[in-house]
Order: sequence, then C-alpha cells, then structure tokens
Amino acid sequence: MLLTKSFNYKDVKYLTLFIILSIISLYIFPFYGEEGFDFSMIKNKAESVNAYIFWELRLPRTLLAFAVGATLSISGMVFQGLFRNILATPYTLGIASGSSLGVAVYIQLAALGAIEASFGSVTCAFLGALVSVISVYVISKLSKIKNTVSLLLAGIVINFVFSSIMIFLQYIGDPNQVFHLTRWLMGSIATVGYESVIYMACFSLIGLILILLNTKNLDLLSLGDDFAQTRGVNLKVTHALLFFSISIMVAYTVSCCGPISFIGIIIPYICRIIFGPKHFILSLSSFFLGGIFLVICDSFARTIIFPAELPVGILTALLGGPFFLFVLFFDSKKNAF
Amino acid sequence: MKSKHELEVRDLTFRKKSLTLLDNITFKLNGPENLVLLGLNGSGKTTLIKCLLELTKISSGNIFYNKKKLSEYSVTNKAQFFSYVPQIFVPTFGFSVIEFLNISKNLNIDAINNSIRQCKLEHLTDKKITELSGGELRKVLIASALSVAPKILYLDEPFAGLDPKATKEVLQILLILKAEQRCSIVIALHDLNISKQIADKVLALKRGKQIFYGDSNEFLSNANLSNLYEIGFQNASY
Repeated sequence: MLLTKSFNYKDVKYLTLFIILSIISLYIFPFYGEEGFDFSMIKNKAESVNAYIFWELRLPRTLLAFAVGATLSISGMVFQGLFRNILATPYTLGIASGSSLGVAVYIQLAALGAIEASFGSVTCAFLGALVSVISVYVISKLSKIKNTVSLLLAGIVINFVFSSIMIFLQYIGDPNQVFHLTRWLMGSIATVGYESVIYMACFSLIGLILILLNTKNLDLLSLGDDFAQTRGVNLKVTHALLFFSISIMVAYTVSCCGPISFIGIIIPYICRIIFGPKHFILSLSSFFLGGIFLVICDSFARTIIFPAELPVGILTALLGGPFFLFVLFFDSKKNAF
Repeated sequence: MKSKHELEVRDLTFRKKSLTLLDNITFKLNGPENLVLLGLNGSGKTTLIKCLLELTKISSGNIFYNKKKLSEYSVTNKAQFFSYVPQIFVPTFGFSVIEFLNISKNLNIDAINNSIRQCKLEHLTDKKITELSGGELRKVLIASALSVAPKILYLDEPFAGLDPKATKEVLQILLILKAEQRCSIVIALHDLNISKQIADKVLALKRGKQIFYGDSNEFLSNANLSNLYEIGFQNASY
C-alpha cells in the first residue's frame, strides 16, 4: 500500500511536545516576574495585592500573549501557502502599517477634539488595517496581478505610503501625542482583566478551526492556483475566505497590542523544517509554537529591565532574529523548500 | 475499462484586449479518442487547453461535456472528469512524491497505486518534488493527474525539455493509456512522430485559427505541414 497516513510518528511526537510545552508555559510564566509568587499567595483573590497582580494582570497577559502569538503565527503560515512565498505575511502585505496609520489618525483627531476619545484606538487600528487589506486586494484584482511578487510589491508600496502619512502626522503632531504613538508602535501585550483575552482567544480559535477545515485546499493552493483549480478547489471562494478572515484576525491582533512583527515569518518557517509542507500538521504546530514563543518573549520583556518594561516587539526581533539566522545558515537539510 | 464521453466545442473564441488569441475553434471529440494539438509556439495551444479547463474565461462560444455546458458543472465535478499536466510547474514547497500524489480532493486509491506502477515511481515516493529532475517531475505530474482517474487528460507539451530516455518513458505511459482507453488524451505537441503514435484526431492551430481538424492520418501531408509550420517539408515520411 503506497498511501501516506496523515500523521507519522515523528510529527505526533513533536506536536505532543509543543502542546505539553504550551501548557507548561501557560502554567509557569504567570508566576514568573519581579515578584515571585507561590500558590498560597494567590489563593485569596479578593484581599491581597499579590492575588490581584496574579489574577488580573499576569494571567490574562500570559493568555493574551499566547493567543496573539498563535494568531500571528498561523496567519503568516496561511499567507505563505496562499501566495506561495515564505516572505508573504500579513505584515509584508501592509496590514500592520494600516493599523498603525489608523492609530496615528486617531491620536491626531482625538487631540483636536474631532472625535470622541471613547471611539478608541482599537477601533481605529482595526479600521486602518481593513483599509490596507482592501486596498491590497483591490489593487491585485484591478491590475489582474497574477504573480505573487507583484502582490508583495503592492503590499510594500502600501506600507511605504502609509508609513509616510504616519510620519507626516507625527511631524505635525504634539510631542506628547507622538510619544504615545511611538510607544504603541513598539508593541505591547500589557492588559488588565479578561475582555481582550476572551476576544483574542475567540479570534485565534475560530481562525484555527477555519484553517483546519481548509488544510486540503491550502495544500493544493500552495502548489499553484491553476493546479488547485483543476483539482477541485473553488479558487475565488477559498482565496477570498482565507484572505479576509485572516486579515480580520490580524487586524484585531494589531489593534490590540500593536505591530509585533516577525513571528509570522519565523515560526511557520521553523515548523516547515520540522513537519514539512502539509498544512494540517503545520497549522497545529505553528499555533502552539507561536503561542509559546510570544509567552516566553513577553515574560522576558516585562522582567528583563525591571522596574521598567521592554516593548515586546523589540524582544521578538532581538531573540527571533539571531535564532532565525542560525536556522537559516545551519539547517543542512533545507527542509522548508 | 473503456470510457465513453463526449467533448464538443462550438465557436470558441478568446480575446485579450484587441488581440484574438483563439478564433472560432470548433470540434467534437468522441471519447476515448485522443486529440493532438499542433501549431507553432504562440499559436494558442496552451490557451486552448486552459479554455477547455475553464482556467481562462472564454470570450464567446460554447463548450459541452456530455451534452451539458461545461460552465454548469461544479468545480468539484470538473476535477473528477478532467485533469491537467501544465507545461511549467515550479513547486515552492517540498511535498514528498507520495504526499503530492495523495493531495487531490477526490482520490481514487486504486488509481493512485495504478499510476505509481504505470509511471514507475516506486523508487521516488519518498523524494521531495522540489528535488526531482525535469523528467521525474513530469512523470510525477502525469501520475498525479491520473490519480483522480480522469475522463480527459490534458497535457501541455509533456515532452518539452526531456532527454531521449525520459521522452521514451513518458511516451510509454501515454501509449499504455491509449491502449487501455481509460481516458481521452488531449495533448499539445511539437513532435510529429509522437503525434502519429498517439493521435486519433489532430487539431492544427495557426495564429489562433483552426486550419485543420480531422483524422490524424489525413493531416500529415507535406502541404498541410508546410502551411502549419511555415517551412518546407520535403519527402517527409510522417
């Protein structure tokens, strides 16, 4: 019999390892911080400061970091498959710069009193991201761009245009407001309470389920549009469904914690090396590894220069960059391609 | 198992901006007949195949499969009837050959095993498709196309760039398909010797116009060939 099983032993082994590591990291890292906690200190929820710090700050923050990391990682994976280019991520296609511009516009308008402060930077970031997603999509459709490189170029151009507008807004803006924006651009997962955690968890789980339902389509699409179509993939529907749902996920993520780049490229790349190109196992492993990675980065970010806090975006690049280069240079098997 | 099916094309025209790339193509193929598309580079063979698969939207005309308009079939249905080996296929991601053969949606397990045997891929199954040679990749693509047990197999210049040994191997596969009559082959070609071995019908294209459609034997005369290829054919023994 020459059929493959959907899993092999090695895949299951690594995936189990990732899941166990996820649980461990979600369990350990809330306890990790400038103030060490043990169980007795967090039991009394109502009374102690420590319990408050644990239950209302650290735990939601760790959970949020996991959900954000997982979302960014699987969305990068989907875009790479969809556009058949490992550089294609929602970030290279301009979604993050759209969000950033949204926030910049919000800060300006709020300073001028033109919009209600309650309108919120989250909403503006979300709208900004949607604008950039739609412009990338419309550009690629109008110009009938068929090849991925042109689409990436369109994304990069949109990135530049939006960044320039943003720099212009910074230039004319009030220094205090500008600082607020600059800080937002560095990315942070700081959160209080569970509201954003619940939303983020919903987004990432719905996203994961949607991707898992489409893994066969993604496998085919990653081999070429014509190929996928002649093998029974409804190209337009699948493409639009994945593109927009992933974009909405990423838009929410960015609006919630700023542009944390890089995860979408490195985590799927590493998973491709370990698991190969099949999207079912790839999406599960990217989900967990992305979560673990951001939880670790964020835990370091909030402790490494105590009492201050390092923006997590800086740390993902500082930790991820050298590691990624290491993988790139020393992966003798070159399994990802 | 003989496969009975019918492909009818009426006045198929395809325009791109002001250029007419395919002009009033009309033919009828009664499966399991094989059709060879001949013509110079740029004469519209690839475009015709893409139109017949509805990968490209035709400007006017109709395509019928078993008396029903092609556009009325669902994508899934079409993927069961037709399968396609493109001329150029550059894989980005390193699926193994066996993963690649199992990737289609409507798999026919017997057909997969059969196609592996037929295309002699047993020794390649664990290799990555990104690491295959040109000839190996072509055979894997043909095997993959056969893995859905199609009614019509579209091949776009499957011999382009192959060495004599690989050419012979691919030809062998096609001849077996012809002998077994399990599906029709619609194939774009340049090699007239191969055409003669495979073709039941020939469709000759010149700058998008159909200059001949009919039995293979009738076509291969010096006059027809000179007209088609715009060079002299003397004493050709096709």
